[in-house]
Amino acid sequence: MTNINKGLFSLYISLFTLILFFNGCEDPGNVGSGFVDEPTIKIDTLYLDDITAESFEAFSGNLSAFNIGLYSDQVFGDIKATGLVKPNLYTNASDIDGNNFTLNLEVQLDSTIVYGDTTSQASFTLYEINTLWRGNSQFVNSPVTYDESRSIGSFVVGNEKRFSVELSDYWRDKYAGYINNDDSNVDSLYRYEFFGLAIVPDNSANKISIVDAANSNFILVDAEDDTVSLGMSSQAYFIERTNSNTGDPSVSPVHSTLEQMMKINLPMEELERDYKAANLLSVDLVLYEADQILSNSLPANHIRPSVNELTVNLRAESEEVFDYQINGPDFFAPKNSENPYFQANITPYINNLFFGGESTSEILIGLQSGSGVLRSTLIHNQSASQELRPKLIITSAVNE
Amino acid sequence: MNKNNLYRTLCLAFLFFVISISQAFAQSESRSINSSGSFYSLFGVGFPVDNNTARELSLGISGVSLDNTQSNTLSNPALWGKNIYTTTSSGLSLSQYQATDNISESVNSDLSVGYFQLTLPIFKQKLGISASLYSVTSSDYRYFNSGTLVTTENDSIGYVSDISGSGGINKLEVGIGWNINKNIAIGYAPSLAFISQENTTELFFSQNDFSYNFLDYKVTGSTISHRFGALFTFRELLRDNDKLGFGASYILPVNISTEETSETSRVINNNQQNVTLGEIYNGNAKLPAEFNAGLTYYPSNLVNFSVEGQFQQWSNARSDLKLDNENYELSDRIKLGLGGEYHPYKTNSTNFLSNFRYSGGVSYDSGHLKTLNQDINTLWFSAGLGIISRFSNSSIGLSARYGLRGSTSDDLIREKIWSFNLSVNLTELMFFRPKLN
Repeated sequence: MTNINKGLFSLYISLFTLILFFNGCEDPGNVGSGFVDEPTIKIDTLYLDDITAESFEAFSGNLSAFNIGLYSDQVFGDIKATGLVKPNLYTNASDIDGNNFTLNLEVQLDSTIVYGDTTSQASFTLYEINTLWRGNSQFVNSPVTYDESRSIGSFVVGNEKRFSVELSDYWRDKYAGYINNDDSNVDSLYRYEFFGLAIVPDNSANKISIVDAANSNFILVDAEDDTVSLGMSSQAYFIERTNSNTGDPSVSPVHSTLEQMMKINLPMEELERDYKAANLLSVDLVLYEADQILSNSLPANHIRPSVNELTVNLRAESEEVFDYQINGPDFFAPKNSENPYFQANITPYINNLFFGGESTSEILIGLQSGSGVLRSTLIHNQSASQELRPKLIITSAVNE
Repeated sequence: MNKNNLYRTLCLAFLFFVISISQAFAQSESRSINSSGSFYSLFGVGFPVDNNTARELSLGISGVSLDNTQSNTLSNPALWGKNIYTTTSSGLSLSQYQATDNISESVNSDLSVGYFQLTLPIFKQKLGISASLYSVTSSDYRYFNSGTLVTTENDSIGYVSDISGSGGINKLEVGIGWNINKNIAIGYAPSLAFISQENTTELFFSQNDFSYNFLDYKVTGSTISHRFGALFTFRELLRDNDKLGFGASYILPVNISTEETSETSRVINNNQQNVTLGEIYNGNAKLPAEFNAGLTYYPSNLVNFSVEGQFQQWSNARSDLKLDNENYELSDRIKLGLGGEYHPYKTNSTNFLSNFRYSGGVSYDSGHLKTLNQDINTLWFSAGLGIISRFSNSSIGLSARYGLRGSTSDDLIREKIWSFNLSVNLTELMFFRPKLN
């Protein structure tokens, strides 16, 4: 390498070093704070006044849980929940002694959730259902008739969570008639002629229990102690609610059964005028629970299933019940851990309203209805005092 | 191409590769690494850019009177008529700004390509044309701060704001230079002046309740600009081989009709999309009339001295931009520069240090800004090195400058600037081997 090339090589290396040095030295800071128009964070409250009630009838069959019991709630009325169960048809009768077996209903209650008097005992009687019902099309408020003249079994719910109820010979024999039937159309006969059992609370009951459907079944034991677990062909419940007492006009009940949802029609004109051009950071829907009314209406040792979150659904144009209950919510509004309000971040929905072609300005507030657990709460509506009214908290950055 | 030339070309390619990789990594890590410059570019349409070659910068002058037939320049259209070679040139600058006020300090650095120019002699040393793309103003400030947001439910949420500028006014220029006779050359260059400027505010929050937010405030627009130049050359004034050049150029003021939009990003129908907020704002961006004039004296072919001045009438060029800052005024800008050069490479010495061109200079820039009734002026000290190819007339220019801008009095900002510039001139002989070789 000649001297000049050595020199040039050194020059290039120096330049390279210089670039690396400058790369590592950048440290932008807040010099000049007096000259920069920094963004300010603006928080607006938009109260929601266009609120009405909407009622639907939720599906109650083949969910993960169903309700059985009777409870007189001072706010939400006298509620009677009747369970409906039907075993699967056992198709391998040759493996057992199909003419000599016992049949039990094993009931597993939810270990934590109870609705009503936790110290009470509730008696239940099993009756044969005498009309056709199907789990997938059973609704909460659609009663199913049963034959009260003949008890198929009974049990009492105290503090225990699992029960085994021996079913009567009459019903066992009726079931045996189907499993021993070799006709090719036995499935159809079983489906349309054998209706299952209703779990009916006695009038003395003062609590509603939640049956864990997945862990409840029928047990068949033959003379040789061969045991067969029979899952549920269908399970469901229906309720009869009377004497609701939510007369306070400043609150609206919301039920997981969709018997009542809160419908909020957003003030689109005001939203578009004031916020479409804003640099939105978040839009939160805030709803206050009437915790005082709820707690003051419960006697000692009485409880309601807790409500930890509300659901927010955009108004569906069709198949509303399926959309709200089965498809699930568009947003969740979890309950604040310290204060009795629910808050849902609905910013994506507002963005869709402004820029994404979303057309509905109606949103429906409900409870978790997908599990089947009976829950209810009271939400302050537009008639409440201002600090408790439903509202949108709109946070934006102002850059001017 | 001989081995020496190949070696140098490879080294140069390596350097550009390193710079490109450096920029690419910077882009991928954060869009603002090594792209932030003077805080004073916050105001208006940005800070005026010195579109000079490294040689001119090292002399501290605009180059309007610096006669050079072997490389091109943007400084004076009249010079394009004197070119001998087809020449392509570009400039790269690396600057570091150490800014302080009475409270804090920050360091910004900026690596950017300043210009690109192609000149073609239609008739050698008689008539030449030029095409170029270069920046006129640049907005490259960057500002960090942090704060706390208290929600209606009395929750405290911390946030950091990152405010930065990018872009500015650029010109796409074509022009012609006519060397009328050995004493007079004139030139004219119309250009498309266009503004593409962004002010970006990014917000980062300490809680997931608020997502990352940015707001891009974009200014766009274009118009036609005109530039004129003249160069007068006088020989044998004081001695046999001396030469005096007097150059001048004038740029008509420009008024660009602008469209200004605010853009942010939102999750729409489950997709992240950019959306425009609000209505388009129609304003205007102004560039002032500019006059450059200067003298360069060549006592011999080894030495030359220059003194030049620049006047920009910024006091009449306040732009009407929606998001413009209110905390400044514009004032007329005067820039004076004085410099000299020594060309030992023309001596054909074999000494290593005799292979270069050396330059040095000083300049004073009164600035175009006035804040709190104080002009934001800049004092530059500069030095440079020219590497001239022995086998063609291609050259590389390097300059190093140190500048002091502004003041910390009255809560103003003082910037200490280190700026390094690299200019590359590639002539046609770089590509075609001379027959005699």
